Amino acid sequence: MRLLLAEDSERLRQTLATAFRRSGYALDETGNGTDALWMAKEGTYDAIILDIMLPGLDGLAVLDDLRKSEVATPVLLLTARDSVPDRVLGLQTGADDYLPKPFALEELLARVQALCRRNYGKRSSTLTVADLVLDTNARTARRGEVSLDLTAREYALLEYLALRAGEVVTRTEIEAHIYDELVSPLSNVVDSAICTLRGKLAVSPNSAPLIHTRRGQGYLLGAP
Amino acid sequence: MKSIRSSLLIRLSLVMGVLFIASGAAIYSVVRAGMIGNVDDQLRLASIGAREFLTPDRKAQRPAKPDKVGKRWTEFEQEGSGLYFQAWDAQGEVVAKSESLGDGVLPNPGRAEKAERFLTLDLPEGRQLRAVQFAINPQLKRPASDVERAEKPRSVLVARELDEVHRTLSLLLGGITTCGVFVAIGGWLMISRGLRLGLEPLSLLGEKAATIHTESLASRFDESVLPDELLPIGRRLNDLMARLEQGFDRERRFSADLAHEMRTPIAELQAVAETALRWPDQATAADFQGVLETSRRMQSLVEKLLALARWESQPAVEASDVLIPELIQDCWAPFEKLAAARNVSLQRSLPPDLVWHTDAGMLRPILENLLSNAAEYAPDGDSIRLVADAGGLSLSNLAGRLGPEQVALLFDRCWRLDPSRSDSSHFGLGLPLAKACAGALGYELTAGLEGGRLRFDLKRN
Repeated sequence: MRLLLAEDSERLRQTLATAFRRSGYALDETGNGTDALWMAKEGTYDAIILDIMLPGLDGLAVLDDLRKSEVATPVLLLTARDSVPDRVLGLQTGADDYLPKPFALEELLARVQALCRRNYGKRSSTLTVADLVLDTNARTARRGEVSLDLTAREYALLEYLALRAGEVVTRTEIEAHIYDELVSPLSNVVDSAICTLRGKLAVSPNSAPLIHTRRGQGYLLGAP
Repeated sequence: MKSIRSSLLIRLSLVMGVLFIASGAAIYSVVRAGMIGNVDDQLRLASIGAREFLTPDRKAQRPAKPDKVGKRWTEFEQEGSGLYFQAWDAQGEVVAKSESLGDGVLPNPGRAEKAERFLTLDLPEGRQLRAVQFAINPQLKRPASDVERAEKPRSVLVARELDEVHRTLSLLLGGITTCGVFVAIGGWLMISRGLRLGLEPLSLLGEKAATIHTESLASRFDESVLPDELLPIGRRLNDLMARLEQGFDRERRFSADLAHEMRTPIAELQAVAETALRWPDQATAADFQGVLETSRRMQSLVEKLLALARWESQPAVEASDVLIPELIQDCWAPFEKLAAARNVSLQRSLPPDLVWHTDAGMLRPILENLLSNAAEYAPDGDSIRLVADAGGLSLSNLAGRLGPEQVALLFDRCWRLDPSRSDSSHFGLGLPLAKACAGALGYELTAGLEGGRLRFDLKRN
């Protein structure tokens, strides 16, 4: 999942960026409203975490512009303004969620996770594809009765594929949603990650492959 | 219950009642006097007839038909007509009386005077008569003999029953009383209604005032509909509400700004701590360094707030002679390098031996704040002008993007020009602190725009 974090407090921004990345999210960050608007319009994000009091362009103006530009990315407003009118205004402007500062990191991660899930039309925290079950709260995966030992990025890749189960996911989409850094067009980082994931999903010699390659298109997670 | 309306209603009703009673009494008295006067006129006419009855010489001249005078004569002859006369001689013996008296007699009112005397007689049976008394002892050309004196009546009383007058006056009194009842009821209703209408603006003012609370301070009394008497009250209330609204707005803004100043660093600390707890093996020294810096920033904020509270509570001043040029140099020194890097200089115009008798410890934060703001916010290449004398000092620099609206907010606690409040090295408490210090020292610190320059004046009160 790729997130955009717009927060003017550098320390808070860095800390949250660290927490999100360690949770397996790809993340872009900025401390300026103008940049945030440009990035949100140009990039592909699964959710945006937006401070209201931003230099350049305040968060509500950014949000308003995004909604008027038909950008439907879920937005969570993260702000020191906690009054009811502020919350109402934020939600009426187009925010999907509102979290006043200070907040519990657990709660922020859970809310962002819920926003990402809703972005793909999923309501349950459990994703099931054949005998593969992902618990998005615990960020764990098991196949049948066997738990899978995945790194944060491998889990993020598997979760992304599971959220789009049955759909062909292009390599570019995987790069955009899973990887922080720019991936070279010549890089085989996605293929390598898929290969590793396939290996971990093959929990027994009889395990049917779940990740299918669509040549020239991408990958598809689904029952054999 | 202290009701203006009830009080006015009672007072006006009482006044109206007194006025009506006085008017009724006056009307009654005037009518009664008029009727008595009318009876007196009748008695005067009747007395002519009585004289003729009692003067045999003139009996021959009595008209054949009763005229106005003669009518009285006939009334003298009819028993119970209500018009009587009676004559007494000098000894008080009744010598003549009208036939209308029948067996009755009139009381002797005493010796008649030369002039007619009108009087009211109360008879034993309760009746009342109006009477005129006169003497008809003829003035003889010659001295009267004893016989003549004895036979001639000396005192005559012509009287008329007042029953009719009393009936009329009773009717009048009844009418006045009836009118009084109606006027009292109608007047009370009209006064009540009039007061309600008249006092309606006052009631509306009261009702409107009762609806005022902290969330409705933006509402105002409509001065265009207030009567002249309430206009000063309405204006003053509107003025007070405007001040209250400004005060509440300022407090709300301060609370919101302070909340932001506090919430963001707390969020930083919390996020750092939770991240470190969640991934303990990945915690670094930089995380703890961040915690330390954030804690120090919060400590600075708390200290500034405490200092502000301390200065605003008018602390004791320990005054001594302070060499102002020296103190200014001390305060400017920390910012001189920063200013010089932007080609900003401080142009001083003050006597080298200028001394103020004041508290140096409280004057220092004022100068430090003013000079640090000027050094930081004066546009590149600007020259900060500082002028001081025994009465105070002024400091000015180019205003940059500050407008009059922003200048008005400069001394508000936690106010910052940048609404995003991104710069974590400031809290917006420096100028409020400087103003509080100035107040504690007996100075007034003001700010204004003058020819595109932002000017601070520190003047002794």
